[in-house]
Amino acid sequence: MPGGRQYDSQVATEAELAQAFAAAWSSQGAVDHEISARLVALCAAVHRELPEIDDAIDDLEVVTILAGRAPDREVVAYLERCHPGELALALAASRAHPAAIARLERDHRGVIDAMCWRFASPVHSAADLRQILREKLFVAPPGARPKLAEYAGQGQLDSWLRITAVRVFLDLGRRKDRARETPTADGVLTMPDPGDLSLEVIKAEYRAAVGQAMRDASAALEPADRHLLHQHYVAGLSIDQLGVALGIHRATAARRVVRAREALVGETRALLVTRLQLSDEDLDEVIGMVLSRLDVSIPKLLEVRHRDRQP
Amino acid sequence: MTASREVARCPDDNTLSQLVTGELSDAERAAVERHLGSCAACAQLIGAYARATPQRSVPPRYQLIRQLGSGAMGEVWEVEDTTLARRVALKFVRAESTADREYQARLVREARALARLRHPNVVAVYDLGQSSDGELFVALELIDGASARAWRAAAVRTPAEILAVWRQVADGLAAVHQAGIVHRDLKPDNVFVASDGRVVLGDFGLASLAADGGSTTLTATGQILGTPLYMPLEQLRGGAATARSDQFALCVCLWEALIGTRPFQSGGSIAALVIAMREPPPLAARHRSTLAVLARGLDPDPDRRWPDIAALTRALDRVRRAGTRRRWWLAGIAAAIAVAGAALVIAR
Repeated sequence: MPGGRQYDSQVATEAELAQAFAAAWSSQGAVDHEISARLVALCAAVHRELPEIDDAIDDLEVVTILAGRAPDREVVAYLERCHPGELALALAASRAHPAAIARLERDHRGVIDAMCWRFASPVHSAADLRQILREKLFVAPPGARPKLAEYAGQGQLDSWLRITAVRVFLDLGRRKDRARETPTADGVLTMPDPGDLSLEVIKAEYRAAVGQAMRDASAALEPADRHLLHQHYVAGLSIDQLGVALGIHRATAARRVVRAREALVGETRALLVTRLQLSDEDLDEVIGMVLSRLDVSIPKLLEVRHRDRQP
Repeated sequence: MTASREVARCPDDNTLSQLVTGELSDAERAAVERHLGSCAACAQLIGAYARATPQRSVPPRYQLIRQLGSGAMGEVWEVEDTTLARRVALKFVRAESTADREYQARLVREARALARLRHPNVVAVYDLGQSSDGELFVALELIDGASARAWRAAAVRTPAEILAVWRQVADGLAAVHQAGIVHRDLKPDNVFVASDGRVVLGDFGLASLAADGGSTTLTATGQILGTPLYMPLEQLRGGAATARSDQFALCVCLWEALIGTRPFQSGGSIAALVIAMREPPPLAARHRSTLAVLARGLDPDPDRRWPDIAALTRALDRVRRAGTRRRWWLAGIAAAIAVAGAALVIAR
């Protein structure tokens, strides 16, 4: 075994597990019996789940890593949410344990292949990408550990592999992806300038004010709302894709987009009230124009941009 | 990552994995989403993740790998069967209209019949079910190889290789007919040559509904939409597909594979194709006896074709054996002449 590490094939004692957990836990709280009993059960389950790599499972290491991210309270619930079996597998594979690598590649080749096919290009075939990803995951660069050792049992290993693959492939930097459209560096949602929207109907003297108000309103948005609007209107994620990105139901995603959009419009309106001192009626007309163009023009602008990107 | 420093450290892949898996607490989620609102790099990553994650609903047993094809009736995906750890092809079939539902019903019948049939030259059916969206799906053997059309185009193929491929198709088709199934849409694109040389007949009942009735295979201007090029007259006229119409398609395929052109020229119009089909196809000098066997399978009258695929293959085998005998004869004569010549040389 590289590094000459000794593996403890026995489940460690409850006291040892509790001690390892306490040492890595940021909380000052005590590791009570409820927690330690849970740790014992969890390690036993890991051994049962991975008989072929039993010799490579280091219970104390698994517990230490889980403790590193444990919250101060409701630790048992946290442990229930973790994925210790997948963590033990990833750790063993990151140490080049052949059976662990074989099991990981068998259990997770679906997601790995899916990502490789998705990012394949004339520059990098799916087979190339698979090789690049395997090296990143399993091979340690000099003086460091392989990428797989970063998995801490948080979230399913499948999702972690997907995210990591996206990160690795984006880093390859050659892929022209719509994802390249990003928020501006100052963190303000990039809204099309109302001038670009051909709002010729809006009186010329209001145009600049409307544009400024929208930009200011966007800056004042909750960052989470800004992110949502950006992904949907600028980066072009569908409601379904938003749900995937944020791990929420599509209905929730749709509701949140509507709410964020209302927040943007409401704030724009509030700014215009104080700045332009229009009558309510005129203001409604101006806002109506902004709104009617928002949904129509943004996708249209994006569509043109995407066409430009076609090779 | 300019703005990220003021807000918070970028979440690592563990945290992002928890986000997309829905495992973050409300407070943690809010913090991550705030970060995404001000960190371009993380927003880009999570957007790319969503885009790279296939969206269609799939039974929990399967994991989507990539889309292999799509058509009016649905989509075909390469998927991982996580239970058995093997790759299969999943064919999803929409059920939006009544026609779709009729098509689905037929598909179910045929999938069941095919599942009972075990033949090396017929695609294996593993599973049949309905996704949570109400879409019907069929899990089929995934063949690592190319369509017969692509196989033919990929390299120079000898007549013997071509005959061997279509002989296997004929065997598969005969087994299918014996099981009471009509393929309906046999063409080089629906036949797969696996990398180990096995030839597999695929895509049953999965051709467009058009395969059942000629009318929808034609555009308003009478242009032919691909598939009809392998269909007999009776099917083009809207008649039901039969084992004899499959036989016709097989003969067109083999004819085309052997000499590079189809027996009946369409010139791109259905009318020209129909007229051409009324006459026996001209037999090229090369492969004349094989083409003559195929010509009987191409007769406009189904009753005058070969009684069944087995009869057709027997006739093809006879031609092949005769060809081999003739070659042996020629080789024997050549050898005799050589021996005589050598004897003459020695005698001098």
